[in-house]
Amino acid sequence: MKPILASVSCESDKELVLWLRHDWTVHEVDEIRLMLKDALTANVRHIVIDGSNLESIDLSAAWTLVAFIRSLSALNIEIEPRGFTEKHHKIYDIIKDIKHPTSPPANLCHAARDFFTHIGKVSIAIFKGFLDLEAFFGQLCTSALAVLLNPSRLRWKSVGYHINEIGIRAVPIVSLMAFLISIVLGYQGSVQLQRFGANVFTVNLVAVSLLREMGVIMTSIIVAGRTGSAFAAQIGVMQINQETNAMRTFGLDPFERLILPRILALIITLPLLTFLADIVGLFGTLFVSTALLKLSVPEFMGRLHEAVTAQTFIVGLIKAPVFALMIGMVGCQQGLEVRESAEEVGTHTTSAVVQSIFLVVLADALFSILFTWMDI
Amino acid sequence: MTAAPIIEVKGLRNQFGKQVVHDGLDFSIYPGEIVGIVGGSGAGKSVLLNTIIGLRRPTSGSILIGGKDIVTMGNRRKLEVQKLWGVLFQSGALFSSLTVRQNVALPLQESAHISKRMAEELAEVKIELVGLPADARDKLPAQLSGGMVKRAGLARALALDPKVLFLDEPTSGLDPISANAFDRLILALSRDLDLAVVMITHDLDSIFSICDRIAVLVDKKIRVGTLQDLLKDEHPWIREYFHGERAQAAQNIRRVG
Repeated sequence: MKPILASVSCESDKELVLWLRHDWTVHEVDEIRLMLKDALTANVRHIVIDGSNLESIDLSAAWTLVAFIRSLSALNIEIEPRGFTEKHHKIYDIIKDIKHPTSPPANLCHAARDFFTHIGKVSIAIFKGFLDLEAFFGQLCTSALAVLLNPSRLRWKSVGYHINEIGIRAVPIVSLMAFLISIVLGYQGSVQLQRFGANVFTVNLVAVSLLREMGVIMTSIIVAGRTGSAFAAQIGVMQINQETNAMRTFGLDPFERLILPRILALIITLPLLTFLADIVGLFGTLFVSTALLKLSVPEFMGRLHEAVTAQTFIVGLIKAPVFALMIGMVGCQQGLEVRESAEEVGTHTTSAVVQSIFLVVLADALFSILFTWMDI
Repeated sequence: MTAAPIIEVKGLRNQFGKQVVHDGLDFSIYPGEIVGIVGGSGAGKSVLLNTIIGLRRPTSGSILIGGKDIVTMGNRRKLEVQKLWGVLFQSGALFSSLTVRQNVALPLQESAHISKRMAEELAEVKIELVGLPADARDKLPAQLSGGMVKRAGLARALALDPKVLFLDEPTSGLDPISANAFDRLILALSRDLDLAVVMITHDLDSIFSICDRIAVLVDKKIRVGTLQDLLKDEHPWIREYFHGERAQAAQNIRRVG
């Protein structure tokens, strides 16, 4: 690279001449700043800046020079420009009124303080999140009540559409998951139980855990991932598009039009999907029993009959609508939280999935306590 | 114009399937001039802009930047040449996850490889240059008003001190006061920095007040001339455009003012 600055000092270092040469561009601003700093010696009182050999200078490079000159006048050093052309003056005129940017407050490392601030902020955010969800639940109840009093207000067509989206399209993934999970449970269970010579009880193990817990939990997690996220994203995009505002101008309640059909469809569909998962899971258990335990089909049925009652089945299924309500509520509420940017759609979709899975697991734990207490 | 053209478009043809959008466009852009591109909806203004800035490969024809054809250029070389210009997209196209300051500093850091401190300082200079208030610097694009988004986009387009500035409807969606201020800003930058400006615009005020030459896209061709040339043009669409009621109103106000 051609040298773009030459400096000569004379008169016992009191005077310094800087020759600017060639092209000064934005790509060299770091070097320019360094070179200018290096050229400066302690005793200098007078600096001549010569621009007669300067071919071109752009705004960024000019700013670097101006910033340097300003820092000098603070040190009481005289500046004498020389040989600058009309063009250079024009550029100078543009930037001469720009104030020196106040450098952003230095990022001092207050790690401990930041850490506690962060904890505080997150706690408040979580608490607020629960309050918001409560408020949302209240709103949901009021519009549900309004619809209950006048069922023709609900858009049943929309409910049907969402049942198809949430339910029928999820049949393959839910079936596959239930089948495979029951095979894995059966295989692992039989390996452990074989040590005690009790591997016929594999049927009990798998069937009970499947019908009571695994079926409904796994289905809920899949639906939270598939549908909860979709609700959040759909409603979030509508928020950005101002579709919800447009609805309000027609006197339509977005709650009634968008959210109620979705949540209702989910409450109808999740128990059905859970039922499907239970049945397919039992087929998986049958498969693993005949293949691994060498049980015949009637023997399997006998064991199943012994292990499982209608109660086992209902205890699992009864949780499904509650989980559905949670997934639907969190998904829609997160969607409504979106305000301005597309980026928020991403973050709120993520938190919809995380929060709904968390709530599902929490609710499942509460159900466990409740059922134990009720002796079921 | 005596200086050599900074961009030369030769025999440019753009075609989508059977639909021909541009058929043999020839024109040049010179340093320091402001060229307005006008044309009806669907006349291919944005396609033309995207083709010139190298985002779209034309069906045929060449675009010469400093005598080199960017159409046949490899990607790596093309990226080098693209630093020559700054682009303000219609909706601003600010990076939504970055603040205004970071948006402007990004090309300085990533493309010009300037240190972070210097890049942020220069970003602030550019932000002040386009007249954004100081408290806008640390805001995210979603928190800005329409006019501020345009200014922030302009600051970013100016980040690498380009020789050519492409503006896609810079004043659309701005109130007349902001639009006028934006026009003045572009004019001042162009005159003082010897910056060539190519702008797509529907704003008749911008066309009458700041454009040195106007390029009209009509019948798949382009007609470039000064306002005086185009006022005399007999083509029906051009007549309608420059002598229509809105154009008359804009000119009358200009005359009175």
